[in-house]
Amino acid sequence: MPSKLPADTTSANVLVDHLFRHEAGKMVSVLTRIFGLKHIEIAEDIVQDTFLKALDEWSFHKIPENPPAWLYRVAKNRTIDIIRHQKYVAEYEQELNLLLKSEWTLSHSLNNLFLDSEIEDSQLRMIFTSCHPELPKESQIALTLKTLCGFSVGEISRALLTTDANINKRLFRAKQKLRDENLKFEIPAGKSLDERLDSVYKVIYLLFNEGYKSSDSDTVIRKDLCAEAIRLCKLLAEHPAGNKPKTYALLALMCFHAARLDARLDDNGYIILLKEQDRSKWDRSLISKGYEYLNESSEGDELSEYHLEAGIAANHASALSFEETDWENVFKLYDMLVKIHPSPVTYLNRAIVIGQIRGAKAAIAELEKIKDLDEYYLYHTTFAEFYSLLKQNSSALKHLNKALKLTKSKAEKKLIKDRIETIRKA
Amino acid sequence: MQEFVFLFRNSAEEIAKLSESAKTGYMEKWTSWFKKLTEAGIYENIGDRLISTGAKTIKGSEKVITDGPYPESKEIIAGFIKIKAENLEDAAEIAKGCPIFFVNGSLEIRTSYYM
Amino acid sequence: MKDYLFLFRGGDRSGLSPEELQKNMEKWGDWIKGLATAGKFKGGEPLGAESKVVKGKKKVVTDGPFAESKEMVGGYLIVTAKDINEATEIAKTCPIYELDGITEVREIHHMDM
Repeated sequence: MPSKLPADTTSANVLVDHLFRHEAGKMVSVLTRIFGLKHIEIAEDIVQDTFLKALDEWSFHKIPENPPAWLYRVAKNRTIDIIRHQKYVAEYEQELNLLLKSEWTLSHSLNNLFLDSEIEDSQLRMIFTSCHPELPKESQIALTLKTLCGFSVGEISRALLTTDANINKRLFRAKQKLRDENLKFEIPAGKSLDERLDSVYKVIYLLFNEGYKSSDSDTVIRKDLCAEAIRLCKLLAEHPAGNKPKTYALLALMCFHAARLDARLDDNGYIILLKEQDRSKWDRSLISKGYEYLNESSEGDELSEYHLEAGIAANHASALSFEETDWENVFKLYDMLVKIHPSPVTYLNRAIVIGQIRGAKAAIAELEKIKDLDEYYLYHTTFAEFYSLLKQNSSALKHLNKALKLTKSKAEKKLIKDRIETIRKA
Repeated sequence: MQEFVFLFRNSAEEIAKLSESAKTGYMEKWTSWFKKLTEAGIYENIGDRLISTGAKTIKGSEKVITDGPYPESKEIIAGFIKIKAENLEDAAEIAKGCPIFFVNGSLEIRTSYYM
Repeated sequence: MKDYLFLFRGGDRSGLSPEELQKNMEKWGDWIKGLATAGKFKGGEPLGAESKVVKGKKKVVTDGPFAESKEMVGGYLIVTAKDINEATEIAKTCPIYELDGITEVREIHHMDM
């Protein structure tokens, strides 16, 4: 029952949303460890109920001094209730079974499982599970966002440019697979570890890009998404299973990109391109972190796509201006990158670098060689850039108009419209 | 539904009074009582007879060890089971069917303790 | 390997402060967790204070002993051990003696149904 205090729903709402993003993933992971992968919905339900309770209580009563502790306490109590009720029908993993079924150790064991080190362990098990190669690709990202990053279905569907219904389908399929395939909630070891890690890297990278490039038509940059990707990667790096050069390369690459986030938008939330960014706004501490990770990644012989992309990003980070960038070096790295990762977008980026080194005509020639990018708006904006350098304005405008039709993002549209205006006025 | 623990107590004296055939009959009473409880879904199979020989008792901060079960004014705990019942009164009714009373024993009913 | 029942008596905690009580409960939890890790723990639980006793041929029902009674069984544990000596050694590591408690160690005879 609400007290006589007026409801302070706004500040409670904001706090609960913030905490959901930061704590829900941890809680779902630990609870999945307890109840088992086959019962992941129990874990999600408990977390959901806990946050609903928080919202209700904190709107009408004082916000507790330690909100996360409050959440964990409520979730633990609910867990204890459920475990007591299903005492004779449930079986827990061998290590926990007897301990959870005895009143001597039920509370004690739960307290242990909610220690920081155990929370990290559970999250790692969850990362490997949500990125399991047995799950359909698109389900992996959705499941990671849902279970580890505290994203709602609505947030996920907006981030991935699809519908709620689609996301729900992907999540459903993923959970079905988890049940049917009898997948284990564990950190892989031995031969399968590398393959499983590759799967995790792909998902983290995708996550980061969704945040960095942000296709959301209302907010350009989802800093949260980038931060989550980095957080998950750090978690991976801190565990023996994930402590590999590739993990550090991926971390380096994300840090370098994330360092530019503040310079990437102007006060109105519109995009500023790399060449026009105020480099004094680049986060130097993130860049310095990037170099640390780059250093760590240089152990061993492997030069993965993440290493190369990190190297490219490092070049940009160390350049005082766009013009002073070591383009020859960047080009070398792109040449290596297209060999191991010959995607059209990589060729596109390489073409832009060629434009820096050999001029607009050479860039256009390269762009024309690329297939499959005709529906990609950046392909056309790039064409437009080089055509306008050559003062071929009608060609530039043609591509800009095509680009305008291809993007849904408000910020991108504005950028393109501005370019169109500039060219028309000239 | 709640869980209850039944602690069965009897005295060695009373058991000693039984003849061999009476003892067998007594054990059969237990078997059929457990069967009845199992069929009624009351008995959860967590309990057993306790052997009274070779027992030890460890006492106090000095951890003094003595042989034998803990003597509670002539009676010792002979066994225990866990059952399910609606409430303490219900459990008491179920308890009355226990064979221990044939040897003038007693049955203590306890609840699981939620801290 | 045989199963043994530990019956705990005494070790009254009512005089403890909340912090001391918390510490004591953690000690118990750690102790049993240790037994579980060593593969010796099979189950058991603390028992609630409420109790009834049904007694004798007439099956008279009365309230059970008071919680503070030294004789009242406060809880039990089922432990696996080689023999009574090993079981007793295990029983000696219980936190209950710090509060002057008593452990009774009994071998369990599993009944065939």
